[in-house]
Amino acid sequence: MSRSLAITIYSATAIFFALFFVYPIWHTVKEAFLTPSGTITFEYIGEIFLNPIYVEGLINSFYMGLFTTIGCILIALPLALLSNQWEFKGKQILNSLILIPLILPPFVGALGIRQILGQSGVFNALLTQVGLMDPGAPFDWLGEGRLFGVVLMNALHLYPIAYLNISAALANVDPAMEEAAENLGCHGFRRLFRITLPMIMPGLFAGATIIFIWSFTELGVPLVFDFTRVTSVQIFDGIKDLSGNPFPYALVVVMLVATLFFYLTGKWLFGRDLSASTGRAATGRSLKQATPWANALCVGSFVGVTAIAILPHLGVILLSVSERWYGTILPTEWTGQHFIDALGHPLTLNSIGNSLKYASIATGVNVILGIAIAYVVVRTKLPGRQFLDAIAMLPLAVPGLVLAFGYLAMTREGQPFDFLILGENPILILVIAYAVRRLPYVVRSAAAGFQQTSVTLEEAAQNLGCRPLRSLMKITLPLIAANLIAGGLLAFSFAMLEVSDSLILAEQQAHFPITKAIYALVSSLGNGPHLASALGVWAMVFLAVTITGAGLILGKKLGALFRV
Amino acid sequence: MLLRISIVLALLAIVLIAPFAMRPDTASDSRQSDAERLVIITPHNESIQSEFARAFTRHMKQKHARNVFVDWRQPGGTSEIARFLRSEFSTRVETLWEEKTKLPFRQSTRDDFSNGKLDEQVKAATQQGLLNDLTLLDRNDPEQLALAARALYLHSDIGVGIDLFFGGGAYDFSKQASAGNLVPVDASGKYGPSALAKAHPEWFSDAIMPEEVSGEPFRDSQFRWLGTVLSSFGICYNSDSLARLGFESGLSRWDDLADPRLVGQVALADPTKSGSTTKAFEMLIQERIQRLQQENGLTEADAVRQGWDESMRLILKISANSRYFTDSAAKVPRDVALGDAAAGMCIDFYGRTFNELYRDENDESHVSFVMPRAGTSIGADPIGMLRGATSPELAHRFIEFVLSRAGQKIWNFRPGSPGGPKRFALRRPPIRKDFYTPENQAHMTDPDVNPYEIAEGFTYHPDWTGSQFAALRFVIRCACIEPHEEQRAAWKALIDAGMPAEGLAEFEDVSSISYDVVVSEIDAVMRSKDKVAEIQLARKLASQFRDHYHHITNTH
Repeated sequence: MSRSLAITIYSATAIFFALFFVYPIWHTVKEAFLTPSGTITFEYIGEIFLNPIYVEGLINSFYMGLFTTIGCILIALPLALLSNQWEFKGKQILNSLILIPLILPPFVGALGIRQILGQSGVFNALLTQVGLMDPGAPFDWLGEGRLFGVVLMNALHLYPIAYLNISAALANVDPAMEEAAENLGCHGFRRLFRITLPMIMPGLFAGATIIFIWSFTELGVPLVFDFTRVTSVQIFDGIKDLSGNPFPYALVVVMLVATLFFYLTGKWLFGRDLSASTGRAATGRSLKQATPWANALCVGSFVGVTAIAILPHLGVILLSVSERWYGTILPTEWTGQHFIDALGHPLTLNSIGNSLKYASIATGVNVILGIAIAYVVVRTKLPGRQFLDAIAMLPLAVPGLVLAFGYLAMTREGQPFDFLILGENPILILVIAYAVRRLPYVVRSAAAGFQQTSVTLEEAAQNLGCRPLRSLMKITLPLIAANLIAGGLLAFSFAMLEVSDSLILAEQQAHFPITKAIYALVSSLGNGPHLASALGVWAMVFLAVTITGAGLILGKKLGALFRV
Repeated sequence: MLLRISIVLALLAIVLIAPFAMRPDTASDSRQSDAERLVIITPHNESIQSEFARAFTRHMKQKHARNVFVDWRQPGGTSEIARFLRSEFSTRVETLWEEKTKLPFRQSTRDDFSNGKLDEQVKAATQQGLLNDLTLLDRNDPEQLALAARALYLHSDIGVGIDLFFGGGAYDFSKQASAGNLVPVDASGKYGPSALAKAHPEWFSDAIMPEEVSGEPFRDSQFRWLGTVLSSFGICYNSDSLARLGFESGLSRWDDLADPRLVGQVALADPTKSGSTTKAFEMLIQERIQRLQQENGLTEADAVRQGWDESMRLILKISANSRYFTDSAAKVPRDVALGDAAAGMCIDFYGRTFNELYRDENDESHVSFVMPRAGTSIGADPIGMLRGATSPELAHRFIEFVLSRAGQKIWNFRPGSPGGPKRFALRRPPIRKDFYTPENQAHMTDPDVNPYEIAEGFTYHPDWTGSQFAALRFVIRCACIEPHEEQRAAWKALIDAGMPAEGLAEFEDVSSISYDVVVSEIDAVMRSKDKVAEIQLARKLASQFRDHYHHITNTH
């Protein structure tokens, strides 16, 4: 790529970030850094490190991030390797089912978990029924779960991110390398650790960093377990505190800086030699037909992981069809009325259309921006590109409310970005908000793809007279399609399920996305949770059809990803 | 390929067709293009929104032959609404300030324009003509700038595109009123709560809507907000869980929540995030003071001092029993109903709704709701008109409707009863005293509840603890919420050790948050507006309690 084009892309992405990420955050957090008379202060920052409760919060958050990441890799890596090696029964469907945690809708997901793991929940009812638990002394899984429970629940929610990224990386590995190792007497685990893992490191790193940052700053799961001593919950509590003290904003900044630090450290430790040394797979991999034992192992692992990961979804599904469900394994009274009420609700139809609109445009923006940023970071030597790379990860770490209030303030009348509200329609700012927050998925996937694809292919094309931009479009992008699809799928699913920006920025009912409709339904008196669950189930089915549909239509390309 | 695409499209069509097929017929006509729009920001739940929107549009059509559409705005609960309004008004004032004064809009300007305490000075300065020309302000005179910012705001008709603020607690509304965001009348002087009071003076008599009941304000003295419905905190409990934990009967007073058998089983609302929850904790203190005065014959001053300290001990124990402090009003009764907590603090209509929801064929429910004996006061849930409302006349009509006899029926009539709500029983006690007639009771979901009778059993004394309202939240945060982990561990250690007296005494040591300390030291910091000092004090207090709890855990 010509240097001038690289610089243009670089500046464009940098300006986008400055305007729609740094500026809105600063707009919100500046209170903690300015005295009433307008001078700079760091007293609030100092207070964080003097207070053992906040220091402990940061340490717990770090553990939450670290152990969740390890947990996700332990779940996802074996599954991806199995799927990469063997042809087994029901592979296509199992490969889709394994992604199920991606589609858990917000608000009702927590209700589903409580229904399963509560003291009078399904799990305890089951244990009591089989005689393993005294009904007079049920175990309090959520209350006693603490950090371990949070990490386990996080890992079971986030492993698909690792799975998608590792699978995409495996799809890019040239089987000839592994065969060569095999021929030279390097088998089994030795080959895994010396050949395969180093070659898929870009994908592994991409998945692991997203999971780390996500879980380091995760809010919902610790709240379900009432585990309050983590930074994310402390920020949430502080922001909602009536006293209006700017202190939580200082905490936000510390969390962002910590995220940057951990990301750069991780990159320094694990990500130094990520660039591709050789060409890509020239030949397709031939999958081994699974022996009966291998078949049992593959099917067993996939079914096992899916069965546990699907529990919150089951909770939501059963809630949506239950009339009465208390202290028993299954509901005692069933009904379909909640679906009729929820889908027939005046908010529903509009919100579905809105969500589709917002999420798909945002995903489009993400793919373009993601390719641009990843290209600058991986393919150019421009100064400061590593910083751009790290900044692109930060949207994962910003508390939703902080960014949302920043966007709100900057788009009001008389403010510099008021043109982003069309009449009263917030679609532009919502799309930007969604895109900024989902950008890391696409940037990481695209960067992993670029790293695994040797630049020599593009150079060869350019030598033959192909212009730089055209060589990117014609040569590299098709080669990294699997990565882009993986990132795009993540971005789309999570955009459909976005919460904070939607709650604050979609003010009028006509502009509600589906998550805000779920939020509104949850609050209905009495059967609200059931109605919200019904709409949540609809959203899950829709996302499931979209994701598997994408798999079916994209066929070969996604096949490369899933080895189907 | 074509086959695959058609399979996927067919599947998508099936999924998408369901909401289309079930969409309500009425969805389109409520939003006719010629309909006038009323914008209301509210923390009220969806059931209340839909019932009032339906009733009000019907009322406007029948009585005034007008098409009206209610545009509800709900950025979250009361805490998000407060933040939302602050952000919205301050960006507007910022633009106006920079335009009129050509001066930068500082952090201090932002605090000043919404500072109700400046109002007297602003009045005086305006009368003396000191603020006539805003371009002549002295940028080095912070006092003058503050008054100018406040005056500019108070004399403006800046709006944020929202007409009404509906629902929350009297505390939230008085905050908004003193900030200047709520107004008694619009710019024309014809519409608004105060104009309504002129149109219906009889409504605001003691016989129908008294200004205050048992010490609680039911409306603003300047008519910037009016109560529309009543609410109170009580205790909800799960009788299955209580039986399992060895309780022979239900709970009836706040003290019961401190029973060590309830360790890890109490669900609490968070006083730092909601004014009405702080109020509930304040009630607990006031009940204690009253009891000390009546039963032990203490003087008022002694009763207040001792009552505060005893209540702090009680709150420490209740908190040690608790699983969490939540800001979601619906979470507590839901967790109690599901048996995930045995008991909790909960708002009356949620408690009653969940009691009803879990009624079995024998008409018995495992969820009960009680109002603690002599420990609860009734608060008003208000409505107010926002500054710069775009449809003040419609806003006026809406308030009028909510307070009218017809509007009040929506709050407590059974669904489908004449004049009642259509689909949802809202189960809330209306504010109008003349509503509680035998004739109406026949249609009410809660005919036995007369909040005015309940209120008689208890009088709120603002002079006892009212001025420590912010400090109360603060001490609960420092002593209970921040060191909650250590507090629970210490409490469990004490329970396991058989509640040794000296350990309990150490646990109950409230000397650093006693009444005297709160009045002399803590309250001063809260009022100083020095946010850094507040954080430092919080750190000091929380560390003290944390060390206490650590020590107990390690020695028992």
